[in-house]
Amino acid sequence: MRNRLNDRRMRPLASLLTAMLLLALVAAGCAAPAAAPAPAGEAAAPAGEAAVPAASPAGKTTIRLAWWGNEPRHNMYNDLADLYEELNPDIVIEREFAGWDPYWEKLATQVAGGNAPDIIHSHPNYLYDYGNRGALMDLTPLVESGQIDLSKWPQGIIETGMIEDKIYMLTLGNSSVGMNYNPELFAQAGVDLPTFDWTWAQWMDTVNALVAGLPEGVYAMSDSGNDTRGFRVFLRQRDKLFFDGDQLGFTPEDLRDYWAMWEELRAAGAMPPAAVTQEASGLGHADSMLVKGQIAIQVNSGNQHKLYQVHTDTELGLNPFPHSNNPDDPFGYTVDGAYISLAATTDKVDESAAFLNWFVNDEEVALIYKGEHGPPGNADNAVLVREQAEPADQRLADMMAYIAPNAIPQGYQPPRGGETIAAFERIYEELAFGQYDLDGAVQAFFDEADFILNQ
Amino acid sequence: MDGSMSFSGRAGIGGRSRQGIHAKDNLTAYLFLTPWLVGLFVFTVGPILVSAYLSFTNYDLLTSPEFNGLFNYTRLLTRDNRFAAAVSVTARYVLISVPLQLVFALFVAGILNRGLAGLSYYRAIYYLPSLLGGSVAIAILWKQVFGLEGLFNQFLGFAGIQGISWIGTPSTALYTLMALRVWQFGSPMLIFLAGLKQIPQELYEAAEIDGARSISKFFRITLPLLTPIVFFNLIMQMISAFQAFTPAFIISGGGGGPADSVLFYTLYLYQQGFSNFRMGYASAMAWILLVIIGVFTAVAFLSSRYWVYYEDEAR
Repeated sequence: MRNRLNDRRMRPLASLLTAMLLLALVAAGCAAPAAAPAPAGEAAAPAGEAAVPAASPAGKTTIRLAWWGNEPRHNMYNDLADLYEELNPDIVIEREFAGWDPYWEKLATQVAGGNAPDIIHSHPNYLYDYGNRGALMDLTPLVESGQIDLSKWPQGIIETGMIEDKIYMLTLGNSSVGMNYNPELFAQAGVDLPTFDWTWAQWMDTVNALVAGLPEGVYAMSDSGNDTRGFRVFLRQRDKLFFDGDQLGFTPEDLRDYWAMWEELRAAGAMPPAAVTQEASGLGHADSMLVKGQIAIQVNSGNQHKLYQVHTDTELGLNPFPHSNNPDDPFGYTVDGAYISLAATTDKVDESAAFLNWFVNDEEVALIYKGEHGPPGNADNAVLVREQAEPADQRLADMMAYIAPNAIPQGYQPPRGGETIAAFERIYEELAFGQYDLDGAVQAFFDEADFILNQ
Repeated sequence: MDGSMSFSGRAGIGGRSRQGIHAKDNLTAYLFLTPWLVGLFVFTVGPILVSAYLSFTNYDLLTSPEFNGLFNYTRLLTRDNRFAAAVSVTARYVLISVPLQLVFALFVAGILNRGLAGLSYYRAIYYLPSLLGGSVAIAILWKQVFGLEGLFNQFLGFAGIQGISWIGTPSTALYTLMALRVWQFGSPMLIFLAGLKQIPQELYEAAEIDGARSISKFFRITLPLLTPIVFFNLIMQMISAFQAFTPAFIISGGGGGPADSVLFYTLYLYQQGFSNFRMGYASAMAWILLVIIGVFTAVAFLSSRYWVYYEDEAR
């Protein structure tokens, strides 16, 4: 046989066999991650990048808690879980944590494998994805039975976590997108600080004045036309929503009007070059352009305001997005933030509900949690947190208090909503890089959205 | 197959007992292979078959898959612009970086083959990037090196050149990833080095006597005798380049940006499966990638008869 293989006539066969073997290797390499239903053995041991396996001694119940966040938040959650174990010696809390993107990717796989953690952190962006597909437990019966006490919760806050008459998630703190600013750069440029009631026109005047007054290399405005939350505020003033049912709720003209403002600021040199923005988007708060004094106004979630503040001695400011130029238009704002849910599949309902109730209502927790995601849902605790608040927390609380009367739940998001929003962000980025002109970008987004939502 | 047939032909003379021993040997062998076989079927063959089925379904991970025929394939191949972009990015990456990597590997192997003192140290040092190159840590390092204020621009600064953000600019981001691949030339280099050592010295001596210069020695002796190794390296590196994922994922933060310029095939597949919950669609992409790699490999094999020389072949 060995001689036969060396025979010339046999070589094509040997080559073919080798080729087939290589193909099999390739198939194994690329098919394995795509085969979603993880084999039973794998699902039983979630190979999380940061899963802390907790031994469960006899007589103790283990409940699994999953959250997203960064290092300081992981530490705080670990402290809170330790505290709960101390208070409830018969409970062991197994912790699974990761950054925002990997958290959702892992959760999707776990839910698909029937292996979701008992207590899940959730978010308005994903409420419909998970709630409507039966992955989240309806908390209403637990609220009615008193296992979860919502007597101190404002109805409007509870509703942000509901689909129809079912409560699927409870807020851990409400926050909205805002504009963080550096008052020292405003002073340096001789520009007045913004007020909560500013309009889009005033915003643009402010930014243009900053451009004129700031030295080279210091930018006036972050390039944030990709942030759909800002666009939602803009749309709300036109009495529109981003999604209307399973379709877009706005017209190309709406988008054109919105992106035209950003393009005007780009032309004026107000924003960093696209490549710089691209690179800065991956940086932590400590290295951000805002903290380094390289940018005067930075768009980000309100609850991140204090994360900038801890890294700088400059007392920063926080302002909501602008009002309509027409004073008759409504002022609208969506509220998001982090929420907490139970998995529909949990078999430890009582233990998980007890933890949930403690987590969202306990005073001690509230004082440790310190409005990590904004003012908490429990109104008493919100007051408590506010009294103890540091100036940065106070600024977020002030902005949220201003927004609250006009706040609306994020609204229905269709199953392909997340993908559509990603396309919005990507096409704006391509606009920023000059790969489209304004009309081309608007057209590209509507084509892409149509492809995603309807094809 | 030949063996068993000859045994059955002589079944009369103690054939039964010999066959029994044969079967027992086989059983023992299979027993020892069991752990591997279980792994193969549970973790490889099983998922491959499931992914083949899923590629014909609409599957969002959270609800059970619905059969939708060839929809995923027609949508991918005829309407999905980003799919076409991902194929183009990946093709450019493979077609440029793999040949560069091989040329570089061969070049360094040629230098190391000159009987350098401390060869084993150099070999280890040059091999190191191959071990580390696919890791997350190196991808993060790369991001720093080619950033706006990175090492690379500081070097350019000494030469008085004002650098750009190589990672953040769509027209250059892909080239930084190609550079990362070329930098991992160690493993093909080791194989080239072993191949170079196998070339009989007599050939060079004979050529020297005939007055051949080193350039013609390289092109007339070294390269032709090395073609089986080149072929092997080409196939292996090509397949692994098609499947590259980690560097693009880390450097673009998972998005394939700036402006989709490093949207590798596998990255788009991952986005569809795990960010957009289109797992059936992602499975179809995996199968199309299999076909693409199969075609490239087949072309390489078919072309090999014109440029790969085996020593035992009379030419």
